[in-house]
Amino acid sequence: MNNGNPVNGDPGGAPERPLPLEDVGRLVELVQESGVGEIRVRQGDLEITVRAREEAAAPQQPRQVETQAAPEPPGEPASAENASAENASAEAAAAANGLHEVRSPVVGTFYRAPAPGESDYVDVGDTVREGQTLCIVEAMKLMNEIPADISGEVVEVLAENAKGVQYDQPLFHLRPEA
Amino acid sequence: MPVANLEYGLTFGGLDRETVESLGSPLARVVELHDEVASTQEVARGLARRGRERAPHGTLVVGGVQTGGRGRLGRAWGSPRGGLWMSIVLRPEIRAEEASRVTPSAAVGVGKALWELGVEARIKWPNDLLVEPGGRKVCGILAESSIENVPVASKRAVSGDLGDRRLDFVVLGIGLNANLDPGDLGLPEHEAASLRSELGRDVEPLELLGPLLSRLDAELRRLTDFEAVLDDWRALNCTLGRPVKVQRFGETLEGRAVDLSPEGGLVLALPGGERVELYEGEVEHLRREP
Repeated sequence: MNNGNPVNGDPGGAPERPLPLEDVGRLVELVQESGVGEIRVRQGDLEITVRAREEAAAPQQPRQVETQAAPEPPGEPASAENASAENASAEAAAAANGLHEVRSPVVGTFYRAPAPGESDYVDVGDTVREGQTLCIVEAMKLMNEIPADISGEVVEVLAENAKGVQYDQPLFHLRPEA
Repeated sequence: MPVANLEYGLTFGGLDRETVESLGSPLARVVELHDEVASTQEVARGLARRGRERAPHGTLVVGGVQTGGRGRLGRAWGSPRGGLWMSIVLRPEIRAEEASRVTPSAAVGVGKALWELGVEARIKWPNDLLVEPGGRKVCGILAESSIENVPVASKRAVSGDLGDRRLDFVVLGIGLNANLDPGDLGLPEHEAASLRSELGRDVEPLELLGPLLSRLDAELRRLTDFEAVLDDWRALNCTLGRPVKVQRFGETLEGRAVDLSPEGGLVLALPGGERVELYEGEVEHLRREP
C-alpha cells in the first residue's frame, strides 16, 4: 500500500514531497475507522486536517478536508428514487470519502468470478482501468459484465458473491486515480 | 478425430459462408464458420470487442464441433458434430438494464422456428426449449452483455440516471441439438432431445437456419415492445401454472409459477400466499403441489 504512514510517522523525518491524494484518502479512512474526531498531519509546509463530522450530518456537509492538496469532493448526485435509504446513506458516505460507487444496472445475481472455481475479476487493493470488468450480474441467463466506469483502486466490495442485487445497488467502491 | 458423420465435415451440415450469407438475414451480415472451435461464444465475444466495424450487429459464428462449449457459469456443454452451435453478436438499441430481454426473446424466436419445422417445443423459464414427453431439452440459450462506458464528467450531468450506461453488445449463444442422437450429448436419454429424435430425420442446414435467423430477428426487433414478446412467450411456455422448485442464493423456494413480471421475471406464489419475483435461479418443474 502506502510507502510510509504519514499519520504515525515523524513529520520531521519524512521526506519533503507533496502528499499524494491516496494518502489523503487513507487519512479519511483512518478517521472513519479509528473513530477519533480529527487527524492533523504536517509535512514541510503542507498541513492536512481531516475532521469527522457528526454521525447524522447532512450529505451536503461532507467530511472536511482542509488543505491545498485536498481533493474536491466529487459531489456525487443523490441516488435514484428506487435506491433504498440505506444505499443513499452509503452513497453519501462514499461521496464524502472521495470514493466512487459502481452500481448495478440490473436486477440479478452478483458474481465476482467468471465461473465457479475461477479467480475473482478483482479484489480489494487492485488497481483497475476504466472499462475493465469488475463482476457479472446475471439476470435471466444473461451474464452482464459490469465494467469499471473510472480508473482507480478497488477499496471495497459491497455485494456478496452469488447473492441477489437490486437495480442501482452499489457494488464496489473505487478510489479514483489521482 | 473420429471420421463418422463426414457429411457434416465442415461446420453444421457442411454449410459454407456464401450459402449462409445468401439468406440475407440481418443476423448473418458477417459470417464465420469453424469446423472445430473451443467455443463460438468466446470467438464471437472476441470479435465483438474489436468494435462495430469488425463485428457489426449480425456477426454470426457457427461451429461444427465445440471442444470447450459452455453453458451458464462455465458449465460444460456437450457440443458434438450434428448440433447447431452458434453465437451472434447483437448491438441492439436498448438500455443496459433492458439487456436481459434478449434471452426470453430469443427463446420465443427459437420456439417459433421449431414449431415451423414441426417440433412442438415449449419454453421453460426463462429460455430453455423442452419437448414432451418428459420435458427433454432440445435447445439451450445463454447470453453475455458488455456495457459501454460514457465519460464520468457527462455521467454526473445526468445525476443518477443509468440510461447513460449504454449497451455495447450482447453475444447470444444458441445450442440446438439438431442432427444428432440425444445419447451423443453424454446426458441421460430422458434429459435431452434432438430434432432427429423428434422428427425421425435429419434437417437440411438451411431448412433450420433460415427460419431460425428470421424468427430470431423478428423477436429481437421487438425488444422495445417487450410486452408483445412476453405474450408470445406465455403462449409458448410450459412453466406458468405449474408447481415449481427454484434453487437460488443457496436456498430452495417451492411454489406455483403464476405469471411473468413486465421485465420477464418469474412471479412465484408461495404456499403462504406471498408472491416473489425471480430473475435468477434453477427452475425445476414439479408434478405435485408443494
